[in-house]
Amino acid sequence: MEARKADIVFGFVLIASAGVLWWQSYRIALRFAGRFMPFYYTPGFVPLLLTSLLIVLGVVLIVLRRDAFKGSWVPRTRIRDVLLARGLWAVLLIGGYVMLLPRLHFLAATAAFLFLSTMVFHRRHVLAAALVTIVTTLSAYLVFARIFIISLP
Amino acid sequence: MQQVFGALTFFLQEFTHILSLPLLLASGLSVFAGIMVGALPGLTATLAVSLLVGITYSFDTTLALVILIGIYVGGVYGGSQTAILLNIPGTPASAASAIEGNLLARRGLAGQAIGVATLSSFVGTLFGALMLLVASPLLGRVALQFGSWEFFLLAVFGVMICGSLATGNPIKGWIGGFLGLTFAMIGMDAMQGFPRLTFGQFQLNGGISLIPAMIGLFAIPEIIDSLSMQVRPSVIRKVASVLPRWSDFKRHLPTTLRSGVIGTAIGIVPGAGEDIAAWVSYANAKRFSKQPELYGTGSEEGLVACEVANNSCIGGALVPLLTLAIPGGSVSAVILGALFIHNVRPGPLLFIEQPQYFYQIVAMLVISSCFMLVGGLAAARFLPRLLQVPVGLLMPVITVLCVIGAFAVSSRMFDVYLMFAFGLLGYFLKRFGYTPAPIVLGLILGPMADENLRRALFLSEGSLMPLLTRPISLILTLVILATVFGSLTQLVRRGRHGRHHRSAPEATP
Repeated sequence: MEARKADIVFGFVLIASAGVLWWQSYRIALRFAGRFMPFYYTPGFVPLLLTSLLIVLGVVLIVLRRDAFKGSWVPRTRIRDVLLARGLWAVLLIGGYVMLLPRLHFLAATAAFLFLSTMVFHRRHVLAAALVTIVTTLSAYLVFARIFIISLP
Repeated sequence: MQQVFGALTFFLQEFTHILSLPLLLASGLSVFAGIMVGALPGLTATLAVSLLVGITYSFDTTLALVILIGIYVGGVYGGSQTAILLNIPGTPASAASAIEGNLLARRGLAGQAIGVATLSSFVGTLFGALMLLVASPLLGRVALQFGSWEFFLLAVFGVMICGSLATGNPIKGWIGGFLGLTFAMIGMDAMQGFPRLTFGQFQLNGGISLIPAMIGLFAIPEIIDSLSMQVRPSVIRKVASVLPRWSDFKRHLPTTLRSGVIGTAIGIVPGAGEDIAAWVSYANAKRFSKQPELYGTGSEEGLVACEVANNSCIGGALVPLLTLAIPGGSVSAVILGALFIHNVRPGPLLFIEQPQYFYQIVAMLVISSCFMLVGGLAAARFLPRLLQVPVGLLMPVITVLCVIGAFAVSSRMFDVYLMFAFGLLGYFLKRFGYTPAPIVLGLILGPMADENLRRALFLSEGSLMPLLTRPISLILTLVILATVFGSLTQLVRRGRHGRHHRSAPEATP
């Protein structure tokens, strides 16, 4: 997507999310204001101020890019290109690793992640990938868990 | 005079404290690791320092700081080796060095270029450390007069100036800064103990943990980006003698001093990091040069200007960090987080409550620079081989380190999820033209802004008049307004210029 159009999309997302947080902050401020303390001393006051500023900045961003409303809004990138993008694979692999960690032991999850990543991004022989995986996983475990005595996931 | 003597005595005392074998070993290893990290394209000092904040969490405060400062100094310098050998700046700080450094290397002077760059970085770091030692106590004395209004304004100023300088578009920078401040509001309110913006998630009651957020925002986008574009660069393998010559140092002394002042001054300004210092210094050196025609053909003087400036920026960035708790750049923002985690409270009271840490940090800079000089010259021999490690192998290993770093602080999986969520946020924000530095700064300064604004308003019974009646508040308010108006004027001018350029081809028949 063109950068100026992307700014408009981001502006709307920002206004919507800041709006939700603004409402939450307003409710907190109302809960305390008057009865216990002045409005400006309530826990909701500063978040209310900040989310209001974010909404204003979101509007400014959209207004500055208003000329980008013209023209086609159909993305030029094809779905096939997105699916083949290495960035997407990186996100999926890191996300999968993070999700796998509480379900498997650290060693198993790390080994699986390293093996798959090496196969996807380095594209070498299975044996080479396995060797890299074993050496790295065991080194990480020994250095952090045994030498630095750091708790691992 | 007595105060200067007292400060010097304190410094020497802390310097000898650092001179113990374990700390020296830690310093040497971390500087060396920093050089490796800085040299590998895609890995920056910010990434390495954010990773290590988590890993060094359980360490003794001095040891943790020795490691973080060592990585910082080594990381800023290490990028220059890649810039010279590969023409790819290892870090943004060495982007300017790539111009002259690589051209020198292509002329067969790779060893000489590395020698000059290393010596310049060493002198630059020492210059920054000296400035830190001299300027911080003076600034700290002024900061002692700060009250709630001033602290609130200082937090706002930090976010606004960082937002203005960190990205090309101040609106985007400010959005980042205010996003960070809003994230800092999540969790239990420190004054009334009421949970805010947690959406019922009890894990968020403690707030957004700084380390997972920092690792996510700085490291994950870089990992994804590096894996997205896997290109194997061509390395210059032949490196002759790297030992710098005394005659070269004497010849470049005026440029060295000028660049040191520029680098330190730019480092002090929040948001303007090592990269800006290097570019400004390079342009300045060219303007004052007796041989400006050599710039762009492999000028040693140009390389000296960049390297002195980006390394002296380290000391400069630590001045506002230690005296006002406002970081000068992204690495110092991470170091600020580390200091808080280790119960060191930077700010005006640091010189009264915990002065030993200030002098220790200056001593660490001096020691790290010595290790950098030795390590940098030694690394030049085998670095060309290391630079050939494929990104596809390196980045997954870095990911594992990120996970360990995020988990190590509180030993809870929620922090790892938080790191990943902030990583995705950082990645998409980067795609949209935002940088993580203002977000992290907002996250750090959020509690300070929140508590001080509410306390100040409570004391003044809701009146905003103290903003005008208190002298320091008035100055800070005027500076903030000047920053906002200055940035907006620049933005409007650039917008008009852009529109003019876009409409120009249409007008041409």
